[in-house]
Amino acid sequence: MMAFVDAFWMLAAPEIIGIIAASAIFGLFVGSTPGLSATMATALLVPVTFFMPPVAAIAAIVTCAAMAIFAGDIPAALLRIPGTPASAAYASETYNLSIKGKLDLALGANLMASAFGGLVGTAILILAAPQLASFALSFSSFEYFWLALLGLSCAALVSTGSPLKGIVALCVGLWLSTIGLDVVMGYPRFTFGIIDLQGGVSLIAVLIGAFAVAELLRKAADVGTPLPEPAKIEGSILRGQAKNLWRYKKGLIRGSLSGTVIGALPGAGADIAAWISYAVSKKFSKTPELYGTGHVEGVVEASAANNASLSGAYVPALVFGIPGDTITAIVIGVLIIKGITPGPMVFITSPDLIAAIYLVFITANILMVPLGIFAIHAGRRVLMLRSGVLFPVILLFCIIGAFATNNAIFDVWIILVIGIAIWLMEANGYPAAPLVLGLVLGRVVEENLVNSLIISDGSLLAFFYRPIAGFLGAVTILIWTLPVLALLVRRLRRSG
Amino acid sequence: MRLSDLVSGLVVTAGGVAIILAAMSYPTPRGGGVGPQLFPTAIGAVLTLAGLVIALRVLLAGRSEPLVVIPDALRSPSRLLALLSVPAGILSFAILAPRIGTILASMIVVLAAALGWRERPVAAGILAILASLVVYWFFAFALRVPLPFGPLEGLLR
Repeated sequence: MMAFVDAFWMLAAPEIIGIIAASAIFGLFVGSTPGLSATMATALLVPVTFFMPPVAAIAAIVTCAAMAIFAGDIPAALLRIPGTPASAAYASETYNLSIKGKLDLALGANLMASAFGGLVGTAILILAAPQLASFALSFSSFEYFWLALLGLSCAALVSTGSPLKGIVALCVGLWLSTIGLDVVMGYPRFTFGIIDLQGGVSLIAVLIGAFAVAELLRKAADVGTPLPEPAKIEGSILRGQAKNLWRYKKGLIRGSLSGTVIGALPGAGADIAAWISYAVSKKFSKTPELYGTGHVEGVVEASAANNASLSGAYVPALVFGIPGDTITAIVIGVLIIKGITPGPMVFITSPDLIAAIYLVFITANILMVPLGIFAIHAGRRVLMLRSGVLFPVILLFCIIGAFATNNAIFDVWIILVIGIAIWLMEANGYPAAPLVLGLVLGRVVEENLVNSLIISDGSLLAFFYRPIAGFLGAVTILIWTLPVLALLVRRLRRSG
Repeated sequence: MRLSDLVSGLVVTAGGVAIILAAMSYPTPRGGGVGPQLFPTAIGAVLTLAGLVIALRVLLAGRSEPLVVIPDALRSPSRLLALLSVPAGILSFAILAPRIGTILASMIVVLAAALGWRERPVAAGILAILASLVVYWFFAFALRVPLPFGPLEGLLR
């Protein structure tokens, strides 16, 4: 309890309140701009958080991401263009509601369900994380090796259509993590004689390259496609929402719970949570035929789910240091840079930091309601902002942000190379997210692998001796072999 | 630019083989045991295999597809210009900032990108000046980052 009091006073400092307010507005702005995702908002924020103490940095990222995921619903309803991929599942539904003249109902449902889902996800985070952490205290390098590998495997296999390409992206990320002096002997690997590479590739520069520069290149390729005129909002956003949410209370709670669980799975983030919840809602609805015509039921469930998944992703991130989505991958990277390695020990050594994260989540989701109403009304203006003004400024911010973290021009070269590489990869179906997760977790995997092999004197069987390690190892191997087995079964059936 | 899976798979395999070859030259700890070569070798092996499977799937399925497809977007000169303005901006900052200072280099970045995005020259110029000054102020004064120094930065002191 003391931790919560300490955390409260940490957050009550005027500069932290200012940071939370500024990142909320930034998140709402980026989220409601089509083509700028919540992950990009977070990546752009990272160079700024680099200069903040850990609590302020986390507060900024949590607030910004929560606001961006909600704000993505605004252009979805106004233009049928989701502001972030997480709103894509129900963009045509809310747009059809706006055609029916129910824009206020649609955006009100988005807003209130988002805040509700976020709070439920936070409650589960607060309840589950400490329990899991005390369980995880007994883990050794064997368990951590399997956990990291399991998390990475899920991320690679879940992220896109082709699991094989996900694995390739993951391995490229793991390879990037080996650049620099190695952990065992301090031998420089893959440095190509460049001194700047001896300390490794800067994670922040890779994040900016992968999530911001690559995105700018994609936007540049379809320059000159003007946006349609956004619809006007009439009526009050909150009127009738209590009744509306009560009517669909089952879906609201189901979406919040399933969103949290999906968020906690490595590799599955807010967008997958929204797609699954929307489909589940349709399946259990009494009126599935109304879905797609401008029916608010599925919107409630899916809006709750994508915000709940944000909090859910922090469960594995804080307890094991395994990110649940790309945003928590960035958070882990930021914490490591600040000298805090996420894991069960953080719950013992810095309970005030953990409590502060909980409080920020609660604050952000409550703050979402008033700021969200403001953003809905300002959204029209944001959408009318010209891309020729917006994108050049973002580009400049990327460059200076990359430079600022290490004061190195070399990091500007990195965002160029990574940006072009990721742009090419994504155009060919190789996803970016597993690459970033691989880079964040690569050192963890290698260190735990090497330590385990030293302990076991090179025996691979030792990786299965301890019961939890054995279980995690079996699950990981199952996940790796499952697609192959499924393929074989399908082949056999077809030929037989 | 869309490559055939045959091409992209082979590129991945080539990368995997290169990683394994590089890792072979790394030293092993005295008295045996695991050293710096183990992890990269494992990554290289997975890449080599995955790339081969991706490429072979195209051949086995008997798909005949063009090796490289240039999307229509890149055929139009104005889009190509917008696309090139992004890497050109980053490149020119990396080269010029240490020589002419952050603010001037920033102006070139924003001007090039804004013109690439078909902003009118006057508007692009005004944007370049305003954005460069605001971003410079934010990082140099609010966050106290020692950004590359040039003649214009001297005037702001």
